[in-house]
Amino acid sequence: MFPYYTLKNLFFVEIIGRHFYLPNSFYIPLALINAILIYNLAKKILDRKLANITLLIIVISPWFYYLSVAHSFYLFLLFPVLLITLGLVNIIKKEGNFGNLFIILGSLIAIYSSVLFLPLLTLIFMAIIFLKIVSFSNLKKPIIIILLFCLPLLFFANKNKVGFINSFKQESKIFLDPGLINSVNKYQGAAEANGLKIFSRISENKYLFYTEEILNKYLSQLVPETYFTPKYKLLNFSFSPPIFIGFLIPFFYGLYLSLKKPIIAKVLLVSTILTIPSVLAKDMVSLNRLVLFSPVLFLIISYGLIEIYKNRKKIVFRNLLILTSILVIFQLLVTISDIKLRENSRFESYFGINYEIAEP
Amino acid sequence: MKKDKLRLIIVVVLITIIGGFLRLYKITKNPPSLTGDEISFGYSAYSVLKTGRDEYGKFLPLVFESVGDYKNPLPAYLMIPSIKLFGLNEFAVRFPNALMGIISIVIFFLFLQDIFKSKKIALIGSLMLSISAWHIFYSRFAYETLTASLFVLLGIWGFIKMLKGNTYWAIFSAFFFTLTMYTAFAPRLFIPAFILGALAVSFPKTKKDWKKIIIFLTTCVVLGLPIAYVTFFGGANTRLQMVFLGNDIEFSRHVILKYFNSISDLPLLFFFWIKRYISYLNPSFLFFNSLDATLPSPIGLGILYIYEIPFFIAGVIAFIKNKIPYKSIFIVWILTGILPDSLTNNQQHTGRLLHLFPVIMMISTLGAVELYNQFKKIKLKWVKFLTAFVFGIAVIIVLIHAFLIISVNFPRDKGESFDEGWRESVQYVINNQDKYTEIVFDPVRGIDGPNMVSNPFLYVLFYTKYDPLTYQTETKIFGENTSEYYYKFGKYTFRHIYWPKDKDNKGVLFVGSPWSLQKENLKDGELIKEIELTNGFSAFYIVTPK
Repeated sequence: MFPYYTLKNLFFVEIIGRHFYLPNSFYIPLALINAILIYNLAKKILDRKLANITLLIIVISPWFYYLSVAHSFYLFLLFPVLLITLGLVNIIKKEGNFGNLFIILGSLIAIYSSVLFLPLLTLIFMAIIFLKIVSFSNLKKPIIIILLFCLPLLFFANKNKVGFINSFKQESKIFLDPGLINSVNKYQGAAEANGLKIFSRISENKYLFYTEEILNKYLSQLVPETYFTPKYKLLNFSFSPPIFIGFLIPFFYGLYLSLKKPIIAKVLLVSTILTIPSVLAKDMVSLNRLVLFSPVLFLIISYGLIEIYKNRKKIVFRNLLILTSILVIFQLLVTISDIKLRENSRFESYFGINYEIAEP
Repeated sequence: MKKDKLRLIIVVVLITIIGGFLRLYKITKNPPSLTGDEISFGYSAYSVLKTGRDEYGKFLPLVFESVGDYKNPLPAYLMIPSIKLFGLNEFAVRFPNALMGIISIVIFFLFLQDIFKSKKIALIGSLMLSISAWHIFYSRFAYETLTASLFVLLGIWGFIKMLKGNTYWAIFSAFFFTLTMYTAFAPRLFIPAFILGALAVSFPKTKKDWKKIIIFLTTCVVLGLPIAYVTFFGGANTRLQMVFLGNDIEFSRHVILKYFNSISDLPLLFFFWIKRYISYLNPSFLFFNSLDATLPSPIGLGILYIYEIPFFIAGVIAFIKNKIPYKSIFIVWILTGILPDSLTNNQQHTGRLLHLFPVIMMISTLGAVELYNQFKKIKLKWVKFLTAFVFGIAVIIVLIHAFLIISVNFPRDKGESFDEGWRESVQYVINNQDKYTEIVFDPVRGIDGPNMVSNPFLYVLFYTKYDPLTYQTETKIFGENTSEYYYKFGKYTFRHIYWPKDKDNKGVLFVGSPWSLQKENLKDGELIKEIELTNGFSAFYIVTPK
């Protein structure tokens, strides 16, 4: 815990330098709780003794810190997602009595917090049942209870239609970008001027362009560049990556090992549904929304790192472990130094020098 | 057997004809104009053809000074036979590169057949290359990296054959590797890195046959010494400094918040470089909008077509899972291939990655074959039909879109960056120059603002077929200070036009953009001709004071 708080202070204080007040007392423990939940998942799925590796990876990755400082709503949404996951793992492993309770609680918190989660969770449960990860009979009870508790939501939605539509529009901004429609008009206009109107209507219409855009965005959520480099800047200004590049080695190894097992491959496929909120964002990638997908990454990295550590007597794995360690430590030191020296200037450069954060 | 072989040859010839048509059809019209680089190569080749010297009087130069950017020698030398045959014109300048693109299809077929011993893989791979928008785009104008990519393919193929075959392949491989370095800049870093990596991974095979390696390395050093000298000690060194990653605008403005001039910035530069390196796996770059054929847009063309996404993913999986001959060499090829472009101070550029086309196309081909094998296993006929139908429609739609991008949108969007307008202007000048005592060209142009500076003197030299010996020996006048753009030879002057003063110069013909020659300041009859771009905007006005 000590390293966590020390690092937390380094990142937190240097970035904003604000006083500690109520939302921080909620978001920082929330990030901690999420970390502990991921740690528990690692203990159940990976290795009980080496699950501390997962906690270490989370603690030294800048992602959670930046989002907790910014009071990210999706950091809060991660909590019910983790509860649901924990519940599903308990059901699959037939461990503990709280599987159904976690699923119900997590689902209700998520659905009552975000309009998007109603279709999202529907998709997730359907995928889990269709791919036979969990049988329908095991999920029948919690699904029925969730549906019953969602009935008041239908009543509220009916009474506040405009509010709910606005809420949905806030969470789904993918179709707000005028660039795509401008492209369609430009391409069709050019083709028409050259007597090729019909070809352009077939291959350059807005439906196809939107499909391509969604496909492009979906694929962008799944590439290493998004998570291991500052390509899509955290909070729109930082040079700190969400996860350090050194963890790319155990990530690839963990992914390779995971894809060899059909059941884990199916789980990974279902987990990509958690990238949908980011796909629906206006930007190509929203690291704020993608935090919902972060546990998948942390667990894959942990899996890879644990297996590398277990095989450390073999020279290849020993070298990989040393290389990972060197890269991670080096980048950690460089990032800490960079935050102290330049992050504030980048923040001012993006938000403006007179930007003030309201005090209560 | 003979019938099978004949059938195979016919199919390969047909594929090559398709590829040839797509690369040569209307090659002088699309791209709409020769770029400054093409013109420069063309005139330098013409000058060497006529006098044995470049336009600056250097005898058979190893590097062409051009406009101070020190161009590689081979593209110009390759143009000499073409110019001799077809004359000094656009076709002669572009034909050699297009021919290299067409030959690449055949070589790629032979390469795949040799490596995988499979006609299916070879045919599918060569077909995919022949219709590849990426390859077609860079085959249609004189882009040296495309020629270099063929030499890279031959060099690496020779290297692989050297590992299992006789010593002649060592010389073959070394020859084409060093030829690559005389052709384009990117391979000068890629080739040494690849050779080091490939030798390291193939050490278990080569340690018994060290004589071959000695011959290989000796040939590389002997043939490569001249170009290594000019790279590090000649003018070519200037270009290296200009394009280094540390000068990247994003790095200076966003990361270190100052100019890169200190060792303490190296750690951040290292992570910035890693970010740039990994960005080559970006889906936008691979499939959606990286080809520089249109103005920035969410949807365009990438290195591979969108319908190749499943091919690429399946290809990567097949490449990892299956036993691929010389897999480690291909991995070294990919990892070192990205290196040169990742170290430059521009965003990813599809043109600078052309030396990777064989391995990228190979992976896509492996995936296509793998998916086709899975497709054959589908038992339900209606599922099989539906899959084929949907995929077929997707392919047709994507290819139509690619056709429209390259034939319609590219000339409209990129005409200006291809210096469109100078040809028409110079041709008007050629037909009318006897009426004037002086012809003045203003190099500044641009649609959105006077933000492009071109080199009209190159277009004058090229289209007037200016005698190279005269140009080498005649007196040229330059501006008195380096900040002033002023250059004069013969009747032609290249400077900024300042109309309040220039309007009194009767008997002089002025060629400038609307920024230098504003219509509202011209009297009736002074505007003789307006040169337009393909997109309808005015490129130049041709004006004479009355």
